[in-house]
Amino acid sequence: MKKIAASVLLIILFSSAAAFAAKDAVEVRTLLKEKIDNVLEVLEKENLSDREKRGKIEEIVDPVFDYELMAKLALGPRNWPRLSPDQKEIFSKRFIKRVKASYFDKISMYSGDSDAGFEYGAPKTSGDKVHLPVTVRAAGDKIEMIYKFYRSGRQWKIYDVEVGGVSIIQSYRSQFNQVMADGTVEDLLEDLKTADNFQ
Amino acid sequence: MTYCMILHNTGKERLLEAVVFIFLFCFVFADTLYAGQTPDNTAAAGKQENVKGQAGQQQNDFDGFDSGGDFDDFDEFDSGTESRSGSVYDPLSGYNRFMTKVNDRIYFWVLKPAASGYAAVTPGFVRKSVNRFFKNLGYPVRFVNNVLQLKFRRAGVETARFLVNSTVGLAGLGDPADRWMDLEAYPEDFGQTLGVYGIGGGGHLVLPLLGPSNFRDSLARIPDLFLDPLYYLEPSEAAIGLRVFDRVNSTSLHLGEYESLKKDAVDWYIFLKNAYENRRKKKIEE
Repeated sequence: MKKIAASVLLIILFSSAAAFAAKDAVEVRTLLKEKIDNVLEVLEKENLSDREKRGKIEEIVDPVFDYELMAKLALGPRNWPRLSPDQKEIFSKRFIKRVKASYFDKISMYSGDSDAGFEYGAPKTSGDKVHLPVTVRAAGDKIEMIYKFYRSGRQWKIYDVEVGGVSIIQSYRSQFNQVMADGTVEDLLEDLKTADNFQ
Repeated sequence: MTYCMILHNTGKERLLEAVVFIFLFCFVFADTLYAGQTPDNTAAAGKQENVKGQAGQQQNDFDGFDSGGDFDDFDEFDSGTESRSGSVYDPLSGYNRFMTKVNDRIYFWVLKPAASGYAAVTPGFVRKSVNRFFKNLGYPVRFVNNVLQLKFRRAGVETARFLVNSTVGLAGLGDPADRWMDLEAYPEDFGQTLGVYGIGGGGHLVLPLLGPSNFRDSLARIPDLFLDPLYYLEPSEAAIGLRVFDRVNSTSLHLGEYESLKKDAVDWYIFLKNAYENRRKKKIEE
């Protein structure tokens, strides 16, 4: 009898955990789909200048990106404590500016591509994190992305995006590790500002 | 695009010739590349003052950020190719950085102008068809490597794709298999096959013209080469010509992407290395 009761209890526990996970997954999926649809809508508006588009897109996506956490994670646990509070602030500001510019740059490549399609895959849930795969089809190419969300209070926020197996956070972290291994915090802040070593 | 443009010559002497050519080419470039490269510490030092000055005016509202707890909750970024102790194994980093610069110059000085000019006179649908034609020729490589990895269903799909696209798709110019029958390509190469059987990448290695690779994937190009129809084309000049054409054509479909990625990078070489190794890791896991 005890055994049965225990197993019933276990089943209830597990199924409610599973139910919560499923609910989280649905929430995240709905949120991301809404955001992406809104962004696409802005991109398709032909009467807006690039700057106006950018402003509107920022209004849409800023609330779901935890930029400050991303800055911290990108620098990593080894190097983050090496910055003074002032340096942390400068680092975060410059990093966020760069990430935003890069995001807008990439996303505007899809404007005008009317048959760009988004497919939402099966989300992976673990604890307070939901990883949502999204496949983008554009110009005959298939790009696999993973949007990584975590629960921040009552909201879901993005802390990383993976593009074709490459995590943005990890990519920056490896670059920052190199800069910090070869140089100083000042070099890092400077590189972040002027790394347009461009032709 | 990813095929080796040099190694496929039939005669041994020609292979040697090509290797010698590449090395000569690199040495010629070495001068131009290293000439403009003096460490620019003075400029950085000057800016330091500037940075400190700005910082002094700001309030320190980032203090609470130091808790460290965040890193424990998000420790996934240390478990990838980027190991805790450091980064991708890279014994040849000096050479690799240099070759990355050579490839960069080749892109801006040769490949990009050629691809832009070609794109200006060739409609997009033609270029996409050409791209599909060359992709269709990659069927033997994909088929054999799918089989070697015991992915028999995928190998079957690849075969169906090849048959449909080579006939209905007019020698691979179209892709009716994907468009109407929902049959997707499953790209696999011998480097991935070795990876599936547990062989690590070895050190990172940037190849001339071909870009980021590693020891395993570079060697794995050789068996794949024998599965490439272009390898058996005579005269070999025609095969070289077609490979160059393939490269220019595929570049013309992705103009601006290289520049866009490079603009975002803090350290372009590290970015490429990390991206390559992680992408390969993901492809091997699939």
